[in-house]
Amino acid sequence: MENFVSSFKRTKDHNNKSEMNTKPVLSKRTGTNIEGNPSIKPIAISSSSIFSVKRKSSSENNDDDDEENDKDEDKSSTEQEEIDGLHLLDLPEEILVNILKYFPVSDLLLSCRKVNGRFCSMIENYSDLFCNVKFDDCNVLDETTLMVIFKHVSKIQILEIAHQQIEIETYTFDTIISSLTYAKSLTNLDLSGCPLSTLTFVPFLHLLESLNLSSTRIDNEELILFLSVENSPEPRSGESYPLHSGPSTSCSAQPAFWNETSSKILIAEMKASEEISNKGITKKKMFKNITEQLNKQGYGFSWEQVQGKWKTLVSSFKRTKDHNNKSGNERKTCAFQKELEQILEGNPSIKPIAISSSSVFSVKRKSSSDNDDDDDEENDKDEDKSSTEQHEQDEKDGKITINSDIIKKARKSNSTQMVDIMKQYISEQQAEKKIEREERQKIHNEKKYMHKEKMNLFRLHLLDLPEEILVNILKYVPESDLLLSCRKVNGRFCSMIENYSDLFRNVKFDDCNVLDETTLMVIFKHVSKIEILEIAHQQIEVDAYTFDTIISSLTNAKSLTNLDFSGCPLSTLTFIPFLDSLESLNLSSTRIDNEELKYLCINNLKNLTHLYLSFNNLSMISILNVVEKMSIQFLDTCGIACTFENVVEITVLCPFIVGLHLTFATDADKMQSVEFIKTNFRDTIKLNCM
Amino acid sequence: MNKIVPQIKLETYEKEVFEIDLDIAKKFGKLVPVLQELLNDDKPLTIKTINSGTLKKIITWCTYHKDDPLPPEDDDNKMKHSTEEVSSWDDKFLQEDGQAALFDLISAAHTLDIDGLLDVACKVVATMIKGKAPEEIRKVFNIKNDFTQQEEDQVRKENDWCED
Repeated sequence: MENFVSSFKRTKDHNNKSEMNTKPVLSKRTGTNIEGNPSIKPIAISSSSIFSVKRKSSSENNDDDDEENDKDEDKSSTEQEEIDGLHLLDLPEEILVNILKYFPVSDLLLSCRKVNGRFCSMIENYSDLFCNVKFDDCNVLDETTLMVIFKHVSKIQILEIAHQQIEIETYTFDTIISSLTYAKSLTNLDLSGCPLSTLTFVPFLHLLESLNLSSTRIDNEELILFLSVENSPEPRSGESYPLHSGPSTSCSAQPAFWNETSSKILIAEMKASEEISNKGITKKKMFKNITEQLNKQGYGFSWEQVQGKWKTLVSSFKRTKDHNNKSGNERKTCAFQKELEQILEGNPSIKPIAISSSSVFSVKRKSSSDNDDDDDEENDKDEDKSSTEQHEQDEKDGKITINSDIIKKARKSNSTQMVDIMKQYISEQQAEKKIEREERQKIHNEKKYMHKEKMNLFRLHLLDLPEEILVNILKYVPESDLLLSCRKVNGRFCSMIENYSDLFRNVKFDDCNVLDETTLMVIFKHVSKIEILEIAHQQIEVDAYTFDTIISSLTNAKSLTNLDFSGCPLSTLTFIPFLDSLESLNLSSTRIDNEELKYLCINNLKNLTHLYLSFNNLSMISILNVVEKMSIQFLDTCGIACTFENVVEITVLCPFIVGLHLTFATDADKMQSVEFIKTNFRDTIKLNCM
Repeated sequence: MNKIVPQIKLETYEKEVFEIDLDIAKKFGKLVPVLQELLNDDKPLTIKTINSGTLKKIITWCTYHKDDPLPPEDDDNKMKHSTEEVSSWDDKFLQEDGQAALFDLISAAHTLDIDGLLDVACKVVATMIKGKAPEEIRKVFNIKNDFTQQEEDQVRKENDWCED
């Protein structure tokens, strides 16, 4: 990732420079486009900000330059373009994989994999990501992580899980490790410090060049059995089988493992080479020399191994340093810290590497020749660079004060003049900022004032009123509103409505409302105070069983006078005998049957005067059985076939009847009944036929 | 019999002293037990919870409704949902100064125990609530929705059912 980032940044910086040199006006515009967003820089520096980068809208210049700008932009950072507008995860998978490729595998496994499901599946499915599996510090490797590593074992070339904290038992480890038999491309294998007890896989590793089995649990048997198997790879020149028990003298090949002595030799040699390295020796040659020196001491390293070891040492040193530089961190030491300090601290060229990409300029400058002109140019570039940065700042504040002429002038002037110009520019900048701040303050004050006024207007809030007043107000709000909307306004409202039984006297719903379980629960919680309960033809969102359960609390409804359940999924009437004060009962279009209707007779509902039983699966006979025990005044049995005999019976059984709403079985019955009522009860009974 | 109308003195939050006719003061339930005392005392009674504007309005209202018959004593039998019976004068009078003034008035009517005014004012507020969706009610009264996300989800779920 670091490589990727620094190369990207280098390209960008390079382009910036060339633009500066050739076309200041253009560069300014490009600045608007590319550099305009101050948050772009951080992408290059830290990978983590990729996740949140959102690009500011591009500038609106319509010049011909625009096209050139675009080209420049394309050239300089196609990748950046892609990252900018989109979310990281919006990128096509192949690009994401490409990005992930630049991450060290240890990061992929230990952190990236845990970021997100998509990441995880990508990491786990793209074998290409796992070429070089190395862990530097002591990390915790759990079973899953190991499984992921060994899933991709066929692609792994270097596998170093030395001295990691492996969180599984030996047996499981051996099982997982057994998949190493597929590791056909493995060249370096380092399992030192692992709970390894078998080497069954070793014969399959045909390309193996380096094998580290230090501090494992293998025994002589395993060693002899598997390292000397017929099919085992031809040992190459550099190959060795280091064991923790010390270099075995019987082994013909010289050991090539890194212990303290060999590392110290390496460091000493490096130090010596550093001192002479200025004399134009290539790195490769230098490492080759060191390798020779090392091998003279009885080791069998290749120069690549030496270079690798050196890099490992430097990077661990660097990491320790970075760690220690951060305040609050516990101090750490790395192996050979003292020795490395001597070499690395003294060398200025190491530091920039350690700090990474952002110091490209200073490095370049140091290495440049003493040529005056050259120096000047470098200076210019630097100045230009800084002015671009100023520019960014400018853009951020939404105004451009510096014009291209100044830059142009600046480029050709010497450093003192440049400094003057910059100073002037900065003071201008500050003045303008001040004005802007004042303006903002003014607007803010205005807003504050307006807000205050508004607050005054609403000095006393509805909810500031004492609870009893609020309840008093709510008393005047229809119950249906209380239940269906007020309850959902606010927690205070809700609890008030649910706790004051007094609010619920007359529960009526007009239109077809949705009554869910909670609403019904609230209603029936206050059932003892309810006088009128009409939940006719509402959309009841509970099943018949739940409805019957909720409804059963009606047994407490001692003050209920009017009950209207028409259209409800009602199938039981067990509660009816308890409703002493009931005056009107509407059970039209429910699911009750003749059997259930008998509950109406259990208790003498002497107050019940109005009974609506229309459109039920009932018979006239059972209805007549029920009504004979009541002093019914109005009876509605629409939808239930009624005969002339029934009508006569009703007039006998219900002496107080004044209204009838009936449906007749036949027209003859109807004619007869109408005639009968007309002659005998002309003034008392009003008959309605359907 | 041309007696001077007996008056009592009330001091508001703003330290303004109001002289109120006894007939009107009788409507202030809270003051009824101490009316005689107040009549004899020259020092005004300070009521810090009421501001001048509100007291002025209360006096106006009481003066307008001076001759109204007393409301029936039995509170329990008071029919609910009779918001229609708020007279247009009351409605206009109570709403003309905005919500905060109305709430001030309710609060004051509660403090002074003026049943008639309290009822009417409550009815007016109830009318504002009636037939509105929760969101509308929040907007009208500037009420913050303090339900938790879970409760909110529950509400949304209910609404989803509505749309089905």
